[in-house]
Amino acid sequence: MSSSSQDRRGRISIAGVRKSYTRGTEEVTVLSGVDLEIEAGRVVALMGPSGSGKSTLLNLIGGLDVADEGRITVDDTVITALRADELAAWRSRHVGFVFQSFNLIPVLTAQENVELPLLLQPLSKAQRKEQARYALEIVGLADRAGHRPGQLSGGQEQRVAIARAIASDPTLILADEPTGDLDRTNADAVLQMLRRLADELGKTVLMVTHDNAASAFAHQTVHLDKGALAGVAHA
Amino acid sequence: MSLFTLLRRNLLRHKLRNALTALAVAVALFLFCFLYSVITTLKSAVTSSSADRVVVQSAVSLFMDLPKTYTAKLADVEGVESVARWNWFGGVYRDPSNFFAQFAVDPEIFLAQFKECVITPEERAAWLADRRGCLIGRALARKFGWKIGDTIPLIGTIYTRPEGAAWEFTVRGIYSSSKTNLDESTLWFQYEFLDESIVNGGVQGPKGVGVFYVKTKPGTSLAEITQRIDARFEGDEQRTLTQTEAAFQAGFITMLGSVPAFLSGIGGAVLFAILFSVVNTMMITSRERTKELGVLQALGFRRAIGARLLLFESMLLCGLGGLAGLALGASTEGTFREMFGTQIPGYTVEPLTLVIGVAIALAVGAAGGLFPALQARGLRVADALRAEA
Amino acid sequence: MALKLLPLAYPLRSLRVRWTSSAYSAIGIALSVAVFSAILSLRAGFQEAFSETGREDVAIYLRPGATSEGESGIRKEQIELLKKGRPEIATDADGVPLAAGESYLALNLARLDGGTTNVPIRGIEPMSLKVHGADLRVVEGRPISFGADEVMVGRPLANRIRDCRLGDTLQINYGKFRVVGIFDHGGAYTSEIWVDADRLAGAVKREVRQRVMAQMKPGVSIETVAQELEGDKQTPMKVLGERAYFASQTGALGSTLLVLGLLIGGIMGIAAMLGATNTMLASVGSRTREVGILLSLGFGRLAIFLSFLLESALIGLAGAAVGLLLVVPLNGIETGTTNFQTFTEATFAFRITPGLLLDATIFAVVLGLIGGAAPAWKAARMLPTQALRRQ
Ligand SMILES: Nc1ncnc2c1ncn2[C@@H]1O[C@H](COP(=O)(O)OP(=O)(O)OP(=O)(O)O)[C@@H](O)[C@H]1O
Ligand SMILES: [Mg+2]
Repeated sequence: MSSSSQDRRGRISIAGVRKSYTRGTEEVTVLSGVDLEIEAGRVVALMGPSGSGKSTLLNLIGGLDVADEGRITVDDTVITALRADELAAWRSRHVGFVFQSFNLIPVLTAQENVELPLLLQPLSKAQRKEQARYALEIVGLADRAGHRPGQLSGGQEQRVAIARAIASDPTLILADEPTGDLDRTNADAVLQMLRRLADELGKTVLMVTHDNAASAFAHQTVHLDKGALAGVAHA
Repeated sequence: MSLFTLLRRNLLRHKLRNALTALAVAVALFLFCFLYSVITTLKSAVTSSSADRVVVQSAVSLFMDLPKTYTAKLADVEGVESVARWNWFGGVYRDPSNFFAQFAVDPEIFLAQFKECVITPEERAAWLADRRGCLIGRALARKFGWKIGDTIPLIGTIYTRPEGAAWEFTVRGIYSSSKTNLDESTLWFQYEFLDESIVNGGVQGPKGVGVFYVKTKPGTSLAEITQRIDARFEGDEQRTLTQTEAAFQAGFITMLGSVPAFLSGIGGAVLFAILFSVVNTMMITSRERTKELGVLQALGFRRAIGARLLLFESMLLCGLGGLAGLALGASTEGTFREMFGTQIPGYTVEPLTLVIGVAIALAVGAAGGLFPALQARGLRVADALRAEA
Repeated sequence: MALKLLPLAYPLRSLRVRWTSSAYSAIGIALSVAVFSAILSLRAGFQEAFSETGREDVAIYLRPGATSEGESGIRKEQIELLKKGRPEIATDADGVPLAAGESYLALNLARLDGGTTNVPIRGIEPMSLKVHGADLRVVEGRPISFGADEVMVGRPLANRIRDCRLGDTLQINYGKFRVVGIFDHGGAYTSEIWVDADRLAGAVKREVRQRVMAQMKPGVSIETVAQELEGDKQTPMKVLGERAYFASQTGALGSTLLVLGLLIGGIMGIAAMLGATNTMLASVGSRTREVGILLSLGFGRLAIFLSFLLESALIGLAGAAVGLLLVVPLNGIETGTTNFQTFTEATFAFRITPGLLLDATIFAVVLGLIGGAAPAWKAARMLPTQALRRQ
């Protein structure tokens, strides 16, 4: 991979991000001013105790939630300034999500699940099919294209979910505990795959994880505690 | 693969639940179709009434007969073309539950006034030639299996023969009706026969005329002639009430009192109940779908897409159920026409009723899907994703 | 081994958790119950007003063949013969027979809310008031005096029909009759206007009467009298008891209302039941794991079945409560329709009776139970391992 980190896309910069929720009358501060720079094409593991705000931060970067304060920039786009529909459009082009519980649509086959985000791209039917096929090949499940999620194992489901996340060739892969529901072997396969996405395809991968083994696959590990940055370690 | 694939698969995912909901809508629309058709059928007698006939009755009571001498007096009123005498007979065929209408009329004038009563020239000639002959409607003939030449025995209730003997009428013709104001469940026989039986046949009963059907000359104003007739008889033995045929028919509907309103009320309650049922199903559906809606948004679909899918699913479900119910309603038209031949003669399901039905089904679907859809719109992605599957 | 039942709190809590869904299906049932009981309460009111009134010791004499007064016709001579000559008729203290030759006509009158209707007017004789005096209360004004052009009007008519309020003048052909009294009668006569029979005959120029009404001596069997008079040479008559007569006049409308109530209530009930099934299916579906846990804890299938069934019965019960709350305000509201057996307007009120409340409640609970049976069965049939595995 010859491209230098300068012209790679997928650089994230987070400045002064705050987020709190009101539960009843009580206000809970979840993120109390986070500043973080993530370079393009890197795998970054986001770790920390339960309730420290990892998922919240990930959701803010993916534009699934809105920060109270602060600024998140991905490449040239200040996503904290976008409206809901603009965010959706931005997501469809630049972000792929992978969830702990896979979140595949149960009524659709693996192939159809992967095709789903491609409906938002200016592609022909044949191109969509082709591209989804290719994504399934990357995760090694081309032979399971016609199966429904219920007919797949957990590890396979998560690989389909990864195929879905990369199908539209986004710059950013955001994964929330992608190995949380998997056994060691499957978890390692998934982590391996995420690493390859960065190394071979140049994607920026940000994953929330409790798995200490995950940091071995990351270029960088960010620790979060009680809503604040607690340390950054480089591999 | 398209979003429609997703919609279709989702509909098929909970086959039982969706089938039950569609069935509920089908049942409701069937009921709607029936109740609404009862009302339109009743009203069609008014709307299809002739514009050149008026009906003269006693001002005191529909059941008070008018003197026979009024026949000639009526014929002299300006604008009157012909006058037919009508008497309600009220005979019982075997059992009171076999109720159907019977009238004694002046046959030639009746047939001349009612072109909508369709019979062959042979039948016409046969009826006019037989004083004891009668004309029966097609529906009536079908119901009791009567054919031309059969004898129909009727026990008189208003006109009783000595020793309670039965009246016997021979079927000389079977008519069909070309307009809805004339039903096909009536028996007509000769007024002269009735009158003669009272005068010298030992029959007891009112000696006058029930109502007069008057045909007006072309170009006569109905409003004026009704007044002219009533004015003519002011001060005579019996005061009269003259109405256009439409008003006379409408009188029978207002006699139903609150029944049409009651039926509409029930129809409304039914649709309301179904609406709740649909809302309920769609709420269950949307609760289940919450996570899916979150995923769609995470993939970059706009927030409105999820809501629209729900709305569309609901409308599709109700539309299909509604179509099934209306199809049943339309296909049972004949059955109900037979079943209620005498209570609601000429029961007809009008095309407009079906159109209204489809609109209602879709509206119920839209309303049922709207609340969950709005809820889905208001949902934040991060929360949707946290939802239980 | 004793059946280990789930505590009652369990289905109750489940209803609360899914309260919107439970409420929607309860409302569906409530509306069916409302329609069902509205129609039946109409019928109850109708029966109360007509079929179930009328005295056993009063006989009605009609012309043979006539099925109602409107069809009947009896000449005055015959009436006198009957009144004087029949041994079964009771007499008052002065030895005068307690019998009246009454006329009957359906007047064409305007309704206050538009349109016209047929209101029965009854031409009476002094003995009519004497026989029915105990059941008939004049609530406003006074009874008519005989020989004068006066009428008294049944209470519900005063608010429905034009020219029927106290002091109004009612025109019948050329006669102008003053409304001097408003009366109430627990039964069918409340829907009528009463007038001196001779004055009415004069106004409409019709001498013929429609019936003889007479009080029977104690111990007289009306059936025997009926048989005796059926083939009588001089005065052939059809005789029946007043109660039986009312029943025969209103049977068809009563049964029409019953059929209507059962049919429409039933069809709506089916729709509502489908809604309840859906709610319960969802309830069972979302508690699959819970069922697995209960099964693994040692609760039996029957206990689980009963618990879910109870849940749906409770939905039905809630529906009954709401539905009845919706119809109770109808109680006492007067309405009218034409009784096509007599072609006259029958005025009656919605009547919510205790029996009806019970029927409606049973109806609702049964809807809930039928709706819940299949889902409850589905829950009870689950295998623990399956239930625990399924998400
Ligand atoms: N929608 C919400 N409403 C109220 N509180 C919320 C909401 N979302 C998150 N929180 C709270 O914010 C805090 C952080 O949540 P978050 O999901 O980011 O934690 P996390 O670090 O991902 O934890 P875990 O490792 O357990 O997933 C928690 O205390 C949580 O209860
Ligand atoms: Mg988390």
